Amino acid sequence: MSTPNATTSHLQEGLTVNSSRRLNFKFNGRSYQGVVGDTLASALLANGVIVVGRSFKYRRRRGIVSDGAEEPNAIVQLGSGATTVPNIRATQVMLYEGLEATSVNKGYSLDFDLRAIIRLAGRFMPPGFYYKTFMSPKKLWPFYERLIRLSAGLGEIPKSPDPDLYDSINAHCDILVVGGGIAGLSAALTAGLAGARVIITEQQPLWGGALLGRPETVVGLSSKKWIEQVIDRLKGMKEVKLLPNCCLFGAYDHHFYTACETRYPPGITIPEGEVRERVWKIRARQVIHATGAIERPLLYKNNDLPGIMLAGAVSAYINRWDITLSRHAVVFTNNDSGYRAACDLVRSGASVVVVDPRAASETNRYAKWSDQNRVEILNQSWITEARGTLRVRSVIVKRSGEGNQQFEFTCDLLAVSGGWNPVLHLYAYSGGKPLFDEQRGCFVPNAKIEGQQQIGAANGSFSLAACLNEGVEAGIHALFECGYSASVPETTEIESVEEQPILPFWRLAESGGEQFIDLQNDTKVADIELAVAEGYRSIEHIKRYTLLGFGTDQGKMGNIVGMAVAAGLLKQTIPETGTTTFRPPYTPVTFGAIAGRHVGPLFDTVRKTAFHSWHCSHGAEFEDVGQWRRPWYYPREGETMQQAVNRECLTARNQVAMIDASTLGKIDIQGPDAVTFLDRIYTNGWGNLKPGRCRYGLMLGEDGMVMDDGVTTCLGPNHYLMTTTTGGAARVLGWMERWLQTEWPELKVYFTSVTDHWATISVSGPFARKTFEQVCEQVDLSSASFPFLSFREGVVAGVPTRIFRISFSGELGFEINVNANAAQGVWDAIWEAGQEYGITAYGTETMHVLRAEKGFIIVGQDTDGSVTPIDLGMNWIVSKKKDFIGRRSLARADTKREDRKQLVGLLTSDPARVLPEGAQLVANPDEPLPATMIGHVTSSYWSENIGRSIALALVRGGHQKEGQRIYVRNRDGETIAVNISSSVFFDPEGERQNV
Amino acid sequence: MSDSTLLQSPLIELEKSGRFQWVGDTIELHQSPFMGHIRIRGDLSSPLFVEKIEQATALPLPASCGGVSFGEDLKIIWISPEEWLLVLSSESRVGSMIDRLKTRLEGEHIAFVDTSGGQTVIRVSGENAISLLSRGTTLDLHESQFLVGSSAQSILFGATVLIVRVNSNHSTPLFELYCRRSFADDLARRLIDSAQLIK
Repeated sequence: MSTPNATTSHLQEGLTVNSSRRLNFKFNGRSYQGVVGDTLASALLANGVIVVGRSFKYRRRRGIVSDGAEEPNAIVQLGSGATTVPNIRATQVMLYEGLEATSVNKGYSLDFDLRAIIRLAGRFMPPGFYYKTFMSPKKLWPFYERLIRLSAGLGEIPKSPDPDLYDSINAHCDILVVGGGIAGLSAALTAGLAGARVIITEQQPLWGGALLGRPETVVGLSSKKWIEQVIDRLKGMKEVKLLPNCCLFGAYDHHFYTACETRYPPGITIPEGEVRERVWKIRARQVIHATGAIERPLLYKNNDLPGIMLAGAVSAYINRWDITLSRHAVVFTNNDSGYRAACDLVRSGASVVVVDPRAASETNRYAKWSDQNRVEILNQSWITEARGTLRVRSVIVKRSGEGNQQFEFTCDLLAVSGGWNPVLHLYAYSGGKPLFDEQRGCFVPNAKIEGQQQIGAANGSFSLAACLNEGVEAGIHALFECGYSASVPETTEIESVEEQPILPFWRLAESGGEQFIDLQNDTKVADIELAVAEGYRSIEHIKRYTLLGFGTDQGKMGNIVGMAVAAGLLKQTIPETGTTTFRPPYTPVTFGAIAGRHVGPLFDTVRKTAFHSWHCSHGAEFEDVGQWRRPWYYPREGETMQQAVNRECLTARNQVAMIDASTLGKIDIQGPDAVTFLDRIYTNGWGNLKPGRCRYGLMLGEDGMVMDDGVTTCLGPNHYLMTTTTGGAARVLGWMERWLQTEWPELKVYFTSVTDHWATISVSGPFARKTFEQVCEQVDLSSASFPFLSFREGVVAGVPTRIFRISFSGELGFEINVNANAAQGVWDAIWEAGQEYGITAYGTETMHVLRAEKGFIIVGQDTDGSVTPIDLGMNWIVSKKKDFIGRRSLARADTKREDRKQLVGLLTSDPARVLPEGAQLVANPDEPLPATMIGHVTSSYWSENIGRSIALALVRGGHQKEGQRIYVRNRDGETIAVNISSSVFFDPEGERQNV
Repeated sequence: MSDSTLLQSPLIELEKSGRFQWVGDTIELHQSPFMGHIRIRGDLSSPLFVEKIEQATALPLPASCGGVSFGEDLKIIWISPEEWLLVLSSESRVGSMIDRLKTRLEGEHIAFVDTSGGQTVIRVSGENAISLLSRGTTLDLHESQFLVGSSAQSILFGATVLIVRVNSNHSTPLFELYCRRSFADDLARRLIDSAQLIK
């Protein structure tokens, strides 16, 4: 595949049709040529490709119907390999050299087999076909399923990672204009002239909207010239951002909009470092929807034949792409816009018959034109059937009145206009409930939504004059709302043209056969009839039963027709039946665009400690703890993880070891009411904690459940340092601020996070003091003057530090806090000093084993938000003398139950057997499944120090069951016998940490 | 901390020679490491508090929340109703500044906390600086909304960041990002990544 022409200063150049510049492309394996400015759809039509795919359900041949986002048939897979993209509308992709497309529904090799089964079933796949047909025999379901899956879905996803770049950007503006047709451009110009910050988006690469396909004269200029002039002026405005090729796909609360800009079309190979798609997240003060309208099809037998197109699309292919579509055309229209297609067809050399159900009218300005051009107009007439096999060959027309005359007209093209549906998706996404306008025969915006305006065709105002004027008015209104004074741009009144009113009609009783409403999902009139006959009443249910509007096109063409048909069958008005709910996205958005740059190494935020480089250079394997990247263990050459952890554990108990504990949350607490605050937030008392002393604290939620824990130190009068768990740091600070600000504003206390300021090194083990005293100045480290649970300030390796005699391993230990900028030197000095004692660094895994040996809990691992301190056997830390958050909840009948899950130790009968964490526990190993679960394993490790496996578990009434035998029941059905033990496995008296 | 202490910035992995920087055609990133960062907590309704802070720093407190007072070699950023960030040109000046503040406000309910090791500053400049930052923040950084001398705390590329608009040059705006140390490396990588996409 080649790269785009002339490095395509992409999409901006070469958009207008240039027939001298040819492009080669492939469709379903065959080579074709198009020209610069073609869409895939226009190029196919220019090549005479009428059939572009088969229908989803019945495999009927289908052709291009439209020229826009509503296209239900020309759905293709673009490109190949890693960058292939399914479900692209051929009408929306600009042709490029080397484009390769295949129909997503061109049939599969097994298609024949599946259809054979369907033939056996003898039915034509009504709604509910699959579950009605394949329910029995049940045994055959796997066989059915395999076949059904082969035929299900549209397109294929790439099999390998997407190599392309996508990004996203936030944007803000005063006024967001959605849609770059005449109404949108007119609004943007008005807003831009006043100096407002404007963003205007247009889903097509070209500006102009409907004018591209139906040129007109605008304020004395050709529409092409007018568009060029407006765009030039907008480009000259500093505060105006033009976003062509950018489909606004979602609207959310507070004028938040999402749009996807296609910078390179799918399937194209893009230059290195370029972005394929960019998601714009736009926040606007005022929003103007100038989203245009989508033409409706009409219902008659075989209305899905290739060669039947929307009238507006016919005009566009003739005018914009200069394609001769037809020699003999029939136009079927219930409104004046179909006549425009008739004019264009005549101009392109076709003979034309117009079938118009309306009576001949004085007001029809096309009457004279038809005489001049020998165009036959059949008034009060309807098409009841289209005929043809590969494509439409003729139509059957019935004329009402005397004798119900019936004619057959030969044709090679049928252009259809059933009226226009304003594109109200954004209005509906914002909670708007459109109103059915009988006069105009369409849904229009109803109640205004604050900050939003709908204008032009999106407002049901289809005339050129109305589009231009509503653009100006909406611009002025939005400017006013944003506080700008508007200067009205010079406009010339455009003469409004009187139109003969539309005659909306939805279905003909006499027209039988296959009448398709939703071409992409093959939903027929008969399906809606069946749904209503089977008792479906809500349009939302009918939609889901018949798949109306379920395709990638979300029923842009057919939905309203389907609802109107349902209303007729239900003997309701259209407003009574109502519409289904529109939901974003407006057109499919790739996962790549949604993910943006959050892929690969940038998938999630990575927080690093000051020692990260050291860990890397010392071979650490890392573990993600929240967003922190923490060393997990440090394998030496040839070591398995278990071997490394065993070595680290032994060294930490027998020699000396150090761990990077910087990730612990640290909160500086200052103020005269600090103690009062601590007393309320922790379960235990703090009044008697002297400066220089530390204490372990436990924090509960209002529900009495353990929320966090950590050591808090009194640094000096009214000055404390609290530590929290790594994962709980932000939550705890927020929790404390919430209580201070909302419940206890009278307390004089300030909290400041110092988590990042202090790097923390924990040195522990029997040789911790001998190691540390080599590098620590100014502090007497002897147990007598610096006992367990106390704090001193000192200088380590020339750097001022805070030193705490605490440990999480139960060994003699020092925890050193040092300004993170200067921390590496301190770490290095301790590491050097420890060499003669065989110091090792250890990671989170060894930390977990060491603390489990001591029965120390990890909040969030051994607790899960449903565990009280009593459940943990930590009654000693719950003060009876004072109030604290969660205290009342501990007195609830449920929290006092004796059969609550309680923390215990587990020892396997086979000491070598390590239990899986999360394993379920049962009392009776022989109880048939589903067995009664009495608890689960929360932590489980091999303890090299003890020489056996150890585990912590939450067991119902566990505190009363010490010594009892219970069983682990594994997923594979295996049972493992375990004995309930104390949760402290090592040094139960805690002598080692006090030495 | 003595001046001879070996200091390492949180962007050490991205430093090639000397302090971190990344220079593109329309965007430049430069780190200002090892500045002094002091979190000040206090009560604005106390005249003594305002007077003494202004005396000690020789700077008026910013007039509105989110505002910034610029001095010759220090600045004060009003972060939240009762919180300010005092930024000094060097970390070595922090100790004496805190002593000075504490002495003057002896007995008052205040807090001065050194967070110099926990923060770093990345300066983002160039004509596409806003385009770059907009990829990572929902804040509106347009000069009409985010005035020179104003600041905001928000999330930038997933990191908690205090953003300060420093200069008034329309064509090449300059922003300072005060970023927590642990997020700084990730933030810098994301800034570079997005800057490379901006042509």
